Amino acid sequence: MLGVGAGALTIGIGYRACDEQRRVAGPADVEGAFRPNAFVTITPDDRILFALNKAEMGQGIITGYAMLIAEELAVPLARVQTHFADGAPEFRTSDGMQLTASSTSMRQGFVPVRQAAAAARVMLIAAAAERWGVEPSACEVANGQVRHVASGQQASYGELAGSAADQPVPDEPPLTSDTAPRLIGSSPQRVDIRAKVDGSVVYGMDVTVPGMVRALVLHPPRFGAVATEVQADEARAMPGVIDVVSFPRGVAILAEKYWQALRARPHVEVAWSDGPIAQFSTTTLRAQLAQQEAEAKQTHRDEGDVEAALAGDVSVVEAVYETPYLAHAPMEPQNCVADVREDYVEIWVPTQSPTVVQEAAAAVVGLERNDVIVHTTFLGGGFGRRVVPDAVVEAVTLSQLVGRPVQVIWSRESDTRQGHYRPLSRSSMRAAINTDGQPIALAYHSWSSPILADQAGLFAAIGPDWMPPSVRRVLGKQGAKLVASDLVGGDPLGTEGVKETPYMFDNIRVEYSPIRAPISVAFWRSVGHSFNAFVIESFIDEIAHASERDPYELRMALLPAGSRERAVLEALAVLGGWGEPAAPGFAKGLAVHASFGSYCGQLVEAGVIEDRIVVRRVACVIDCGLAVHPDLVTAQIEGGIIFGLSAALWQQITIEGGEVQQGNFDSYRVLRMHECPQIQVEIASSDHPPTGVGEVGVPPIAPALANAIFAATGVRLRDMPLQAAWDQRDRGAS
Amino acid sequence: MQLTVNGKVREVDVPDDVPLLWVLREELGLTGTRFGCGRALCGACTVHVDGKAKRSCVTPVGAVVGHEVTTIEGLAGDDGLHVVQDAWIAEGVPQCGYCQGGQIMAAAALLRVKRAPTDQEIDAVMGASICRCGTYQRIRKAIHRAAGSDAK
Repeated sequence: MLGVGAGALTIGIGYRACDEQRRVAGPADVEGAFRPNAFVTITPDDRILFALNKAEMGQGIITGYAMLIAEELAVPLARVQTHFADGAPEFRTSDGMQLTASSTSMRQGFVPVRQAAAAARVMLIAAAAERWGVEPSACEVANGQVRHVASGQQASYGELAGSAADQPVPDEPPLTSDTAPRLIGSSPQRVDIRAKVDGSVVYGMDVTVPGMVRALVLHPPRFGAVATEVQADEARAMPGVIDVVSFPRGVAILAEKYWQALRARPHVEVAWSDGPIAQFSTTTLRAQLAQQEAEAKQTHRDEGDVEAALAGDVSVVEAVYETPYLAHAPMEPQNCVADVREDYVEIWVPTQSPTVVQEAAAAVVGLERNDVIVHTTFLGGGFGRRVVPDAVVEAVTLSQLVGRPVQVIWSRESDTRQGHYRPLSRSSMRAAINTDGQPIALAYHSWSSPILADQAGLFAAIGPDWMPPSVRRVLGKQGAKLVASDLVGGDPLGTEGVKETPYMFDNIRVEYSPIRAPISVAFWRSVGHSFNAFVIESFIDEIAHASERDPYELRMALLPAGSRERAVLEALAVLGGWGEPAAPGFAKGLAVHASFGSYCGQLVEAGVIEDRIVVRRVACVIDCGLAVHPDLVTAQIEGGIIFGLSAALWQQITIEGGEVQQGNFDSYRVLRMHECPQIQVEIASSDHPPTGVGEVGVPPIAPALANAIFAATGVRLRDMPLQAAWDQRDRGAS
Repeated sequence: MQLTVNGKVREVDVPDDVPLLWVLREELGLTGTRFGCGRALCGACTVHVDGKAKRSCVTPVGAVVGHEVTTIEGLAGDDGLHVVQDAWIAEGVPQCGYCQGGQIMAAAALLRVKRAPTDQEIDAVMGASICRCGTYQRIRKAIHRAAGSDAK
């Protein structure tokens, strides 16, 4: 492997032979093709193929990366044919993973993906120059042709493919788009849009392989419970039903067709053990958190002397905020196809991480992870849920059991109840305001379940290939324990978004305590920011109210001069008409929050009509550095706002007697068309390189809404979801 | 039994009570009709039966015998795309795209009965379909575009 550039993608040279690494012939396996690196292939018949090593889950990276390739190869976007890269070492990024998470794709790929194409361009030019006996610098590229400017001779990339492969690979190929971009900054049609409107797009759910069996998995009603008795004689005798089997993750009805498994479902009776968490209740957990002192406090930031400031001649503002567990609820329920053979496993799955899938599947069957071939499909939503490979483990286990390829399809209820949830959190806030009305101290103490502690599979997958799988797994477990342990200060994600707050308090302390609950938690679109932004941006408004200052003016006073938050906030005040009256019955609230390298401000116009929270309008300003495709940025921010509003208004996963109370979209509510506010997004122009987009729109919406509701009604809602908090506002107000 | 799907007569051998969704997907290979909730709560499985929007996940296949079923694959006919699909592209509606076949089928059925629906009429129909990516604002614009009207 020869690295090109210092970027995050390692651009391998050549193609590993099939006997060294398991390969299924892919679109890029074309005889005589020029493949200067794992990502770009140019065929003799002039096709330009691009292997995308990221998941396309709606965020549009398939279009964004294809633009970068087209840009540096000087071809129209339509010339780039993109396919999903299988799970393979050469497609892993510098963190050792093929992983689409943390709004990193464009940040990570902006330079190296262009370098992959630029390397091809340089080698094609060198091949042409050699053929014509001229200097490479006398040649130029346009529309898939290399041309010798003086003589007018030209040759297509395809014609040059054979000889380009013999040219030296440049270490630092120049990026033409740094000086003269054609596509970057424009908004061409998404490359996948036709397939997404004519129905032909293939998600994991749509995969069919010869001889495939369908599996409907009945999951235990309580995490960790097991089937103690299965009555399925009648079901087994039904047409198409192959077997009904009990396995560690539940009971599977295996049938030739999924509809046959569905018909058999009422004829399967399962008795479940209580399992380890039959007593668990989120109501009890919340009550305990309210009463108990934290078992351990980790200090994530401490400047000045907060306690002294709070004890001085000041007025103290105090508040407690709570947020619930949340499910991801992607539209496509979890699913996976696995085909376990004697010495390899082939998998088709909508995943955010082929590497995690390889690791998990290999562990089930006892193979090396590179003996697991992973084909990624389009994802019907991800939001962090598709980093966890539980449907993969089920499909692999069942395929091994029946000796045929198996497709596992979860019900909507399983998708909701077998979640790995956004952590429940509780945060206590204190601020000191001096006699001049200046906020001089902020104390933040937050409890949440450490997300990283539940990521043993992810940490194992980060381990290198040369390490024995068993060692990687042990290290994965230990690593997950360690990175969130008290030894290193607890889960850094627990306070993200607050510990870095740019608000200038002379005295500030940020503390974290873990919640040790038997509920698996995971990355949920915007992760720790999803609750921490709610807390800090609500509380800033509370400080403004207590010190009788305008919430916008207070923020501007507390933000450093020249900060990007300030610029966003200023633009937002103009866009959203801060200071101008809202529609009758409504009021305005705002919030600004930095996450994933970007800065996002939102202004909400909302009110409460007949006890129903109504969101009328949202204005948003986003500074995400260079917007490679502005319309995709706008779409992601619009979507982030809606995603955040569903959570802010209604969503919560509650657990009683160990059982998740929500199941389908009637009990786990998602915002719908008639509830959708008018949304206006403005992208700040920026000279900074691209930063995160997919998650950045989520964090500010809940506090901006809570602030608008306070402005409209005088009622401060401190518990998410806000509609439930409104409904219970007279009871137990904190 | 015989079904008429996208203008073609298709023979399937399944019991009457199997949801149309799974017959389309597993027996006829028409995977553009999606499974999202199984309880008519999300709309990802929306198809047309005699031109009207129906939730195929709760429609027994026996109920559509003798009726015309149209799926997203058959919406456009043979030449290009349906006007609603064109509008979806023009407004850049889809993100993950999983719900969009159902959204388009619901919108096309709406436009058949309301040539220029108001925002309220759009809400009344489209409010039954979920898009987790949150593309609602663009769906609304696309429907107005397809209607050739900016009626509010």
